[in-house]
Amino acid sequence: MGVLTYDESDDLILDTIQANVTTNPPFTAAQVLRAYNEAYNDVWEAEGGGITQVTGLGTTWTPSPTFATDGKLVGVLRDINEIISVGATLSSIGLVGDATTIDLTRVERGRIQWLRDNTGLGTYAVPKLYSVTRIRASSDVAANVGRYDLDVWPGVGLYYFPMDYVRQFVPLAGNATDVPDVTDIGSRDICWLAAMNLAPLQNREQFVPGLLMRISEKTRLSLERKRTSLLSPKVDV
Amino acid sequence: MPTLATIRGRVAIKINDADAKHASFDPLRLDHAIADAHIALSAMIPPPHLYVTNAFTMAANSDTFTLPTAANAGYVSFTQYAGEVKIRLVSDGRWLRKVSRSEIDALYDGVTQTTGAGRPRRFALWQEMDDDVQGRVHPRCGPAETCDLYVALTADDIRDAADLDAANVRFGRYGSTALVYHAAALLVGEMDDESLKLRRLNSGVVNLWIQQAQSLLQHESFRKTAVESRGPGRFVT
Repeated sequence: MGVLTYDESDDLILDTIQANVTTNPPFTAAQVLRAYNEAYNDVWEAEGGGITQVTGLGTTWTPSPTFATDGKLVGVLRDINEIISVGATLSSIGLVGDATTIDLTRVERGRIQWLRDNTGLGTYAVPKLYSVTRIRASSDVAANVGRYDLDVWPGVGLYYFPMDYVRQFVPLAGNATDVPDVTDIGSRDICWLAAMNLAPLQNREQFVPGLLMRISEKTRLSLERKRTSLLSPKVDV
Repeated sequence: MPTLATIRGRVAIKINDADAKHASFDPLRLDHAIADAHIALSAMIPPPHLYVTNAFTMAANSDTFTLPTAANAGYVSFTQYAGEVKIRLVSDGRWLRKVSRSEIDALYDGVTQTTGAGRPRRFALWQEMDDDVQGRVHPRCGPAETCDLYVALTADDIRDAADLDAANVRFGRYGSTALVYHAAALLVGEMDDESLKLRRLNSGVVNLWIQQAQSLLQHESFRKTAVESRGPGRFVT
């Protein structure tokens, strides 16, 4: 069946805690959705989310393509959690991993600054190194936070910089066909975790041990580690 | 003749560092290690020779000249002479005889005349602090004399190329492989224990690779010498 849709998950959660009723339902749809998204957050943390591939068009960085040779680009996206890799290509639709996309090597921003300040190190016709920096703009409004700027070396004109990145967590809106960005097992773990959160609210905490047994080993270990870190400073136990 | 990009790829494979996302050395570090190794190895084998027609002109009535320093076709660095210099006058096709500076000075001892009437027959060279190679001929030139040059040159510094990726490494197969071994050994020698573990390398490989490089370099040297050897037969006119 693959990754469960929200509709399937909703049924599974309520069935598990014997609350899938239409007359006098113990939980509103909004309560179930909140419990679902909290559980989704935990599983997302454990699994890391899928990689999003974007081209180097102006929706990713500006200017695009580079018209200057200083190798400085301003980030446009605001949903970046982690940048996996950045490439350089002359194709506006090129992606990381394409045959004609150069895989850039990530370095510290200071190294690129140093290279810009020094000469006699050799010259290249294509970009080689990149650095991304989370920049805080002048004020903390939504348009300014979560911005990553790109520095490349050497600065070469006419290049696009496609990127692979992991998004920030985005909760589901609760539409019937919505699916979480997790694995098939992860989508079931979300249901067990959500059910575990809801069961005590219905005075059915006796279901919790049974639900715990259904959680996959990977998610269990992640949650155990998270719980330990919350209780003890010895997070590496 | 491999390019620097080819050698870089081979070095990266040899040290298990062919992953831009988790690189121990960025491309610039790899290229500098290769360029340094290239110069070090070039100094251990016979220098390449070059025959350049109409290489320079001695001015009319002059008794001194400067050997050209501009990069020759196919070379990227300014010209540095590696010892052997032969000069041929274009006007009569004769090779000048190389003598010592003292001999030339002795021939001019007491001569105050500043105009010439014939063609030079011998020359002496010396190198000045700015690396220019100066020369003096005897007798003094009458009319201007255009000269061909047959010279031994030191190796290029690959870093002088306009595009390092496309720069040619002027070694044969033995020499190129020696360069890969030598550069790889230099890089492994710089790794700390953590990097060695990450790359699944043993530091003992440094000595092994240096020995391999030396052995291959010896074969490169034999190869170059063999090309110039006329063999054991007698000279027949």
